[in-house]
Amino acid sequence: MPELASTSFGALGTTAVVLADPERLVRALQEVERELADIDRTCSRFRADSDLSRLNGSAGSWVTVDPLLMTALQVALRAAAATGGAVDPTVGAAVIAAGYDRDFDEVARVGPAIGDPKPAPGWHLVELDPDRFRVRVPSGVELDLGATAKALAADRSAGRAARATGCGVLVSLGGDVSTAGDPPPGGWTIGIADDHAALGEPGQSIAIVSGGLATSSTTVRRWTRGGVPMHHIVDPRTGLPACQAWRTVSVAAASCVDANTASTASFVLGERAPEWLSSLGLPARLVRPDGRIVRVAGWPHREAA
Amino acid sequence: MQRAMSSSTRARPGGVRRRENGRRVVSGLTRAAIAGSIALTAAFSAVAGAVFSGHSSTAAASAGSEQSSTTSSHPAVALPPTTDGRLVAPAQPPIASTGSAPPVTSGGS
Repeated sequence: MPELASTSFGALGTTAVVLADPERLVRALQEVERELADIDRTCSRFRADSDLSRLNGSAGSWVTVDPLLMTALQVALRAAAATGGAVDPTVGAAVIAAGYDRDFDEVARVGPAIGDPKPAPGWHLVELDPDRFRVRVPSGVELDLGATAKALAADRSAGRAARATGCGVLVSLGGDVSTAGDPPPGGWTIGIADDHAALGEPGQSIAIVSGGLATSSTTVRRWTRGGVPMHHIVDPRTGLPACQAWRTVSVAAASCVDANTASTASFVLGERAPEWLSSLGLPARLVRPDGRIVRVAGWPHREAA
Repeated sequence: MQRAMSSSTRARPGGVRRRENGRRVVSGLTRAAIAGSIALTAAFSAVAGAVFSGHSSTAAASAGSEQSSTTSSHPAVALPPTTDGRLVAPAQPPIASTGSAPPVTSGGS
């Protein structure tokens, strides 16, 4: 098997990387770009013309949505159910109240204190009519699919590219990794770090043969309000950034969506996360703020020197 | 042979009664089983509705006003692999890699 080729580009507010056979990389890239454009057009809360923005502004009316947004909503609600609400798409107003109210590049890194936090009203309030692609959210409820839509985009684009090219493809969206098709000998090699964009950061190299891998971290997308450090992983119960039992959590799963759901939920679950991940058989690496590492469910031990 | 037939003919009224009694018993059991199945189905539906409420609603779909948008030609895509809605573990856990620098890094973004 020839060496893999890779290409990277900006998408969904982060960096996208595509790995594939060099002869088929261009075709794979085309498929990935199309899929990401579709996800952005339908699921972005930072685009006024997206289906999601229109749904958020629907004031409690039933709204006919693109089938892709319907799929993303189903994935988000499944994530909420699977985590007992630790990952909740109705957290949008809380994220906005915390100061993350626009594309992160445009968010002021320092600002005045926020007002009262806004706990998530609850994912049970979202009504789906999948047969007719209709959705209703109560007035005032803001949906944010950030926790699952990016991972869904990785899963869909990897699968789409693998089907189109007939070869194995890896797609990484800001560190949310999905693979499809035959893996290279020895599996897909992936570095693990606090920041997906950090070069030369001490961490770990692992390999997976299928499925997805996601890393969530509070070391990135940080800002302060009233001198209080904020980060992008919000606890739906409080409407505030999740407590910092962990600095970075990486999870491997059968799909990137499941991996991302688990890594995000781990911050909300705090000290209960290792037991929960173990009970699901999800291999994970959890890094405490002081750098100590907890590994569960078969995550390999060898770290970088 | 003749004798046996006569004997059989004489025994028929009692046999019919037993058969009819048996039919009534079977019929009663069948009705009870059907009623039980319906009751169990209703109970399971109620439990499922309570556990997964909010996932879909078609009965109320006609209520309220509606907004619509242009719908693309995306086919509905299956949800990720699930086991009773639980998150699904990978086919194999990751293994440590000692090769050259990995081409991709999974980290916060």
